[in-house]
Amino acid sequence: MNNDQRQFEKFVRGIKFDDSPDPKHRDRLEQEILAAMAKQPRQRQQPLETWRIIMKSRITKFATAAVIVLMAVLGVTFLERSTAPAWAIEDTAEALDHFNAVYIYGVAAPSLEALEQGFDKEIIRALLNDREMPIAVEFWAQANEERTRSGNIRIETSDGLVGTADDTKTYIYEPNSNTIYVQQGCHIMIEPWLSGDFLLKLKEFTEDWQVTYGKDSATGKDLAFITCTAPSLSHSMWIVIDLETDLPVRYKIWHNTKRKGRPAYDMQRIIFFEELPDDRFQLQIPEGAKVVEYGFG
Amino acid sequence: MDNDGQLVAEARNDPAAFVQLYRRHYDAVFRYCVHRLCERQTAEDVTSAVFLRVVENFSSFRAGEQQFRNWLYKIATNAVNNHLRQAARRNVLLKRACEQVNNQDSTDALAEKLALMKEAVLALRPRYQTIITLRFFENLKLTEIAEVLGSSPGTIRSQLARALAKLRKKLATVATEKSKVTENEQ
Repeated sequence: MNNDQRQFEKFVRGIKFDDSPDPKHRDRLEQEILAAMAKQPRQRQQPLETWRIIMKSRITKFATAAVIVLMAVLGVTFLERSTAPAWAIEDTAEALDHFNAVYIYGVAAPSLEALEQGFDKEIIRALLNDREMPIAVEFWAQANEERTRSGNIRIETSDGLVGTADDTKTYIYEPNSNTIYVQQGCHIMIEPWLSGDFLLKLKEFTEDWQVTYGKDSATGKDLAFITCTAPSLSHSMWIVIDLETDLPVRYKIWHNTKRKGRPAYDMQRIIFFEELPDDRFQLQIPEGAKVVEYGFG
Repeated sequence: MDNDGQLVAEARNDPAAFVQLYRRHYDAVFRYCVHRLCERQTAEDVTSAVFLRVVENFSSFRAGEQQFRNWLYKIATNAVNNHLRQAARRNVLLKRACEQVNNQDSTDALAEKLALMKEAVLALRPRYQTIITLRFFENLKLTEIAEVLGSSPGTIRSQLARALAKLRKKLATVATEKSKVTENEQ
């Protein structure tokens, strides 16, 4: 135990803290537990195995772009700059630094080229087989300790594909073939992490950075809309900032510099958390699933 | 805790054995919740939620891979973090914690110390709160905390050091703010 720990232990010992349980609550809860048990089905002798999951792929390119937004679905009344609430990129950068986890929902149509950066071709064929694009997708991700990229991550598509990854392993469950692909290492991640620093760097890296203001007609919330272009990647982006929280709430990415046509990523909901529970990143293996250890990556 | 293994096996099909397990661990789970949440009523509510979740998920508990007590702490940690996730709830808890301290029949110095600590701990990230509480209030070893949080002892060691450094900073900040308020009141 180091000096810091000894000092804190001494500090804690010096505090009088009434933490004695109330026997009445204990007895009441015992009755509730017995009632709950009576409703439970008979316990299984063989519990389902739970695996820590993932998929690793630079699907991340998804998320790299992961800070952009959209308007098509949004009823927006645009405001003159003079009547709009003040917003500075530093406000959002500071707000982002308070959160270590994020949930993102939207529609994605990743290009084959993007997938090929992370996966073996044979696996890509298995994953894309009969899968319609674009596809609705959800991400849950927790920043790594250094907040440079995601640590634990989970991805689910609307047709049942599930992927999870941590620093050591990546798992992908493909429902059509009831197969789980396992690979050593992390092959799905959001990199860089959606930190304040990332947003500031995005502004430096991109061109034509423009901000307009509007009000969501449905909720009355004041919004800022960022548009920018990354010519070196042939990407363009649209990011929506909620001016009440200063956080990004939507984004879109196009694989062209004109924001033309259907975006490759149209992420319509972004929610930030301080933490996500660890079990969010666990995968329950469906009964009878085939497990294939494969070198995709 | 040595008999948990046998009791867990029996509890899978015997409610009486499950109740025994519950009685054995209720106090520890409640204490953990009250140390994390700093408020008795809320801690009781979360403790209830924890044990009801244990009933619901007991079939998925793998006795060969972890201790039942550590599994309980893991569920309690998730329940507490979920509760704290809403900033509004955290603010309410802070307010109640301060009121509780003011109402306690203890010396001014102790009450002040407790208020400082509660405020500083609640301002930490939930993961750091968990580590601090398990280490210093529940006296768990680093290896046990690592099992609860599904991490390695090395990672927990470095996170504990970071948590203490942040706590030290928060304590200093909170103490400074309080002394400024006192000066202004005078």
